[in-house]
Amino acid sequence: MTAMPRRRWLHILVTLPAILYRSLPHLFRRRQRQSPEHNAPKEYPSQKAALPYCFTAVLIFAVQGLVATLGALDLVFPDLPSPISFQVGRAIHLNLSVYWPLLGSMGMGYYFFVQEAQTDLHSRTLALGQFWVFALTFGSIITALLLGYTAGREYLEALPMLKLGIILALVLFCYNLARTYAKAKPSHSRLVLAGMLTGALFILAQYVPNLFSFVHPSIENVVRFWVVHMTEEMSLELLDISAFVGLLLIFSPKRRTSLQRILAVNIVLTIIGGVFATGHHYYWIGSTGEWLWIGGVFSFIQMLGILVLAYLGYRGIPTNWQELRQADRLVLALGGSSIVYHVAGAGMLGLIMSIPEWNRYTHGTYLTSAHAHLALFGAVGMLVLTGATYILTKQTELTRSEIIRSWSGFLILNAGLLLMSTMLIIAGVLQTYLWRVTGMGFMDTHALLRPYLIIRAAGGALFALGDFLFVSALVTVTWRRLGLRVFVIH
Amino acid sequence: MKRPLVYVLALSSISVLLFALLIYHFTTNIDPQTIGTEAAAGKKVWESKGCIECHAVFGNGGYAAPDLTKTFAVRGENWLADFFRDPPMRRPSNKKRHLGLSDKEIPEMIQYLRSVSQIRLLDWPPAPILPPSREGE
Repeated sequence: MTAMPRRRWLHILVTLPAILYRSLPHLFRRRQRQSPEHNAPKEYPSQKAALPYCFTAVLIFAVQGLVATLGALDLVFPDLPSPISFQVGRAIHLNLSVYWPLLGSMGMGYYFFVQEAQTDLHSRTLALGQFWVFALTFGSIITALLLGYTAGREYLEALPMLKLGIILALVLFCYNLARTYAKAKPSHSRLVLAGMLTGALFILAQYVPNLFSFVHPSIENVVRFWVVHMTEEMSLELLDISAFVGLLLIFSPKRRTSLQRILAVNIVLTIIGGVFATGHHYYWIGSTGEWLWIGGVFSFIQMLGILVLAYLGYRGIPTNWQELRQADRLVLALGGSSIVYHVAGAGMLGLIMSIPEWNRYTHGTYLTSAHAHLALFGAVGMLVLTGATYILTKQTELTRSEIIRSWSGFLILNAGLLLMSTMLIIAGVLQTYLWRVTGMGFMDTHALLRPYLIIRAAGGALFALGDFLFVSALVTVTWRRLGLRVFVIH
Repeated sequence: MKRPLVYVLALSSISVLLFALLIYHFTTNIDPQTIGTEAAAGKKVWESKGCIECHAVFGNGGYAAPDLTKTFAVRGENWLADFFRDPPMRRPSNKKRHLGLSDKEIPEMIQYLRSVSQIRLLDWPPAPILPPSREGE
C-alpha cells in the first residue's frame, strides 16, 4: 500500500464524523420543516378531551385480544381449566368489541370535531363527565357479565339498567357536539362536522330501542340489528370516516375541496346503503319476501360507499412518507389497513354473503364470523386505532423501542387477523358444504373443522401479541408525554 | 354545500322514514299469537342462561353448538324434556355438562322452542342439496 491511499483513508476517517456532525442538524431541521405539524391546523385546548377516551379505548383493545384468544382456545379445547365459562367469556368478548370502538370513536369525534369547527368544545367538563359515565358503566357491564348477569341478547348482553349509562353518555356526546356545531363559524364547509354529528345522533337513536327486550323473537331480531348492523356499518362509519377526513386534511390540507366532495358521496351512500342493507339480516327471521331483494340491492350500494372510501384514502393519504414522522407513518399505515379490510372483509365478503340464495346456505356458518372479525376489528377497529394513534402520539417523537414495538405490533396484529379470518373463511366454506349441502350433522361437521379452528386460535394469539406490543408502545408514549394528566382535561 | 347538516339530516330522515314503513309492514305481518305466556317465560329462561352464546336461533348466535330454530320440530317434546332434565356432556368436552333446567323451567323452554319452530322463515333452514347417503341399505 502506498503512502497516498493511506493519507486518503486517514482523511476520510477524520472528516466523516465532522460531515455527519455537521449534516445531522440539517437532517433534523429538514424533518422539522417538513413535518405535518407545520401545516397542522390551530390547536384548541379542548381537543385534550379526546385523550382519556383514546387512551382507555386502546387499553380495552389490549384486553380484548387476550379474552378473545382464551375464548377461541376454550372452543377447541373445552376441558382446559378456565375461571369463567365459555358463554361468559364470549359475552365479554362481544361487549368489549362493541364498546372499545365506540369509546375510541367518541375520542376521535371530539378531537376532529373541534379541529374542523375551529372553535373550542361547548363544554370540556361535560366531556370529562361523559367519559367517567361511560367508563364506570362499561366497568359495571363487564363486572355484571363476569358474575353471570346477562340480558341474553348477542352483542347486547348488558343489563338494561346499565345500558342507561351508555345512553346517558351518548346523550352528553350528541349534546356537546350539537352545541359546538351551533357556535362554530368555520372558514370552510361544515360537511365533516355534519357527518360526525349525524353519526353520533344515529348511534343514540339505534341504541335506545335496544334498552327493551321484545317478546316475539322476530321483532327482537329486527331491533337488535339496528345496533349490530346499523350502528357498526353506518353510524360509526359516518362518525369515524368523517373524523378520518379531518385527519387526512392535516396531511393534505390543499385537497380539502376534493376530499369533501368525495366525503359527501360517501355519506350519501353510507346512509342509504347502511339503513336499507340492514335487510340482509332480515332474510330468515320470519319476515316477508321483500327483504330478500331490499337487502341484496342495498348491500351493493353499501359496497359502492366502501369503494368511495377507498378512493378517499387514495386521494387523501400522502405519498411523501420519507418526510413524515414515524408516528405519522404508523397512523397512515393503520388508515390504509382499515381501507383494505373495508374493501375485502366488510365489503366484498359481506356483499357475496348478502346474495339471498347464497345466504340461505352460508347464514349461521363461520363465514359470518369471518365477516364479523374483518368488519369489526379490521375495518372499524383499525380506523379507530388510526385516530387514537394520531391523537396519542401527536407532537411526540417515538423512541427506538417504541418504533420497534409499534411497527412490529402493527404487522403482527395484521398477520394475526389475516390468519384468523382465512381459517374462519375455510371453516365456513367447509361447514356450508358439509352441513348445508351434504346434510351432515352440525356437531359432526364441527368436529371436522377443529384443525382450522385450532389454527384460528393461533391466529388469535398472534393478534393478541401484536395488540399487546402496539398498545404498549402507545401507552409508553402517552405516559412519557402526559402521565396521569391524560385523564385531566382542564 | 352551504348547509350540509340540513341536507345530511334530510337524507337520513327520508331513509329512516321509508325504513320505518317497511318495518311497520313487517311487524303487522307477524302473528302475535305465536308466542304465548309460557313461551315468553321460556324466552326469559333462554336469555338468563345465556344460551345464545353457544346456540343460534334463526341462524343468529353462537357457532359452538347447533342452531335450535327447528329443534322442537325435529326432536319433539319428550326428547327435549329428557335432555334438560339429565343434560349430556358438551361435545367435544369429557368433563363439562350442558346446563340443566329446573322442573318449572323445562316446560317453559320447550314452549319457547315450539313457538320458534312454528315461525315461517321463507323455507330456511334449507334442505340439503345432495340426496341422503344410501350406505347401509
